[in-house]
Amino acid sequence: MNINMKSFCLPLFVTLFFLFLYVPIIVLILYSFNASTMPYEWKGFTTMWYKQLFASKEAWQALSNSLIVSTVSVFLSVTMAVLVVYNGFERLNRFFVFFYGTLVIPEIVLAVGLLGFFSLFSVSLGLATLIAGHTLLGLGYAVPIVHSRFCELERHLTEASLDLGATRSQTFFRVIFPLLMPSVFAASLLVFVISLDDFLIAFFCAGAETQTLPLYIFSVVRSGGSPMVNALSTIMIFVGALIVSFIALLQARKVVTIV
Amino acid sequence: MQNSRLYTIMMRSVMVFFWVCVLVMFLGFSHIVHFFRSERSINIFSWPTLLDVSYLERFERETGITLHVSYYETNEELFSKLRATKGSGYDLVIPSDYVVELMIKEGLLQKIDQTKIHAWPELDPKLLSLYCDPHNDYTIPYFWAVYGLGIDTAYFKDALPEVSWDLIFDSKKIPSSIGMLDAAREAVLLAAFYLYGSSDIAMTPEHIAKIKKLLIEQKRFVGAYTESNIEHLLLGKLCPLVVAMGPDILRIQRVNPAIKFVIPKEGSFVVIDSFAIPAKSTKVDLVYEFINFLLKSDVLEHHRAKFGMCCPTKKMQSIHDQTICPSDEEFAKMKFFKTTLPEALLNEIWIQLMAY
Repeated sequence: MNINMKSFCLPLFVTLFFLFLYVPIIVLILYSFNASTMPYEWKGFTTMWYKQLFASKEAWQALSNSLIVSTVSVFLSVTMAVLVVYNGFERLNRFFVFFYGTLVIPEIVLAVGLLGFFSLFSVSLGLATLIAGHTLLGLGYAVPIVHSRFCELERHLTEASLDLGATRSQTFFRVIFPLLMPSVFAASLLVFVISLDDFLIAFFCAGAETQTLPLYIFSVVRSGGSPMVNALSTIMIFVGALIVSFIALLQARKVVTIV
Repeated sequence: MQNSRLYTIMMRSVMVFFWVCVLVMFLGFSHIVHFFRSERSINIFSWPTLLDVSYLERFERETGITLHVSYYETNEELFSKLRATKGSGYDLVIPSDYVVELMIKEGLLQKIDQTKIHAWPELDPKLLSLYCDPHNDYTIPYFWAVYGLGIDTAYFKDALPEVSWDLIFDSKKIPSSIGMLDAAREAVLLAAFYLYGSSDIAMTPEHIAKIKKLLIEQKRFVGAYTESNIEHLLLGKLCPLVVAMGPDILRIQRVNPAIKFVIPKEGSFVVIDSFAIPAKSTKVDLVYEFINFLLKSDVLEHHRAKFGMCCPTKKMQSIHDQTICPSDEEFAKMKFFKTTLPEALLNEIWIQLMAY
């Protein structure tokens, strides 16, 4: 009897663990092809929910809102992150820890706080407040990534470049920024995915007229629910997975490390 | 030397100016946008099972007014959201009677002009002049519904027990898993009604302690506190008994005829959803157009047939399903969810119950 318990238990445990993580998602994807509206019976394979989704005007509007908000908040938060890290590296090292705050605080607390802040200044909720909220959220991810990459660079590169005759802007654009490019790229992707999937801040800070994809899913689920939501979720899962695997690929090739 | 110093100062002031512009743009963005486009659109905050999307699209085509609809599941959610934004952001909300009282007190609603509602003379008099808004200055009644028990008769195959509120409160009769109401006020007043026969009495601390004890004892048997997910509970065979509104059970009955709606023998609660216009809305004429559209007979009939609610006009009384919408005499005996207990106390009881 040469059955080794160890060589059997670990693969079993890992399989069960992954099943536990992925079975709900698999069920979600399967039922997006279900011909019945209720998830209690399987009535046959169909792609009609996908067709209905592509025909829905509201879904496209929500998608365009989501994309606008995500790209603008990515641009703003990554720009701010790079500038803060580059300019504050020596003097503000201690304060970089505060940027982890948006990760530590429960997102709902952040969202409610933002709502209170906007009400205090009588800013009416809409696309702009949503972008502001997502930028805040994105900063918490972008700054640590760019900062850790910046720490890996030579400490005195800036000084050396200035010594050798480059102006300040030449130093930034031709020396430091190309070296930071991988982390900027990774931070943009990460903030983009997070902003696309974000629900809580959109729920509180978007106002009645703007609807992003997660909010659209939420309102369809609330108004009776239909497998169209499953179809939309399947597409979003695949897009998100593609982006995240791309980041993982970059990490594997040692192009970038994410904290 | 002087040149480069000047250059630095100029660059820095440009950058500061840029970020200040971004900040100002954020704060004033929505004002600028409203200035440039005069949109014919209204924002509606509504119950999920009240408005049919195809009819909303018909309204949009006929009048050219764009509708942005958001949904809420409980009155507390509506009230918190409206209070947080101080009555702005939405042009039409559909609260239940008991939260209308709170909203009027906080000044979140604006007065309505009854002459603008074409269907006003046809509205059922029993729905007008309610305790929350005696002269209908702020609200126009829309659909109403009665609370009761949704029972899966397939579970009680041998004998249907006598339907009374004992079935959800008495631990000897309660089935293993039930669905209970998810709102603080409704649960507390239901418990008060069960213990004392009336929810309108003055509550002393002993009364409140007894109610809390009853709700905590009930918690063991509750499968879920929900009013909107009951179809999962009943159709998924998770709970054989839920506390719900008639129309919700009616819609589930269409899928599974074994589910029945019964109003317990001791009597029950009725809730009336009305139209109300938040205080800061400026598009009042568009809102009246929408309300008039919804109160047209064919639109009312379609919504009644689809969602099963009880209609607000007199002439639709005759086609009401008697099990879901009781007659006028029985309506007179029904209770409302009104109470003198402060919201803070109700919320405190609820939070304690949820944390138990």
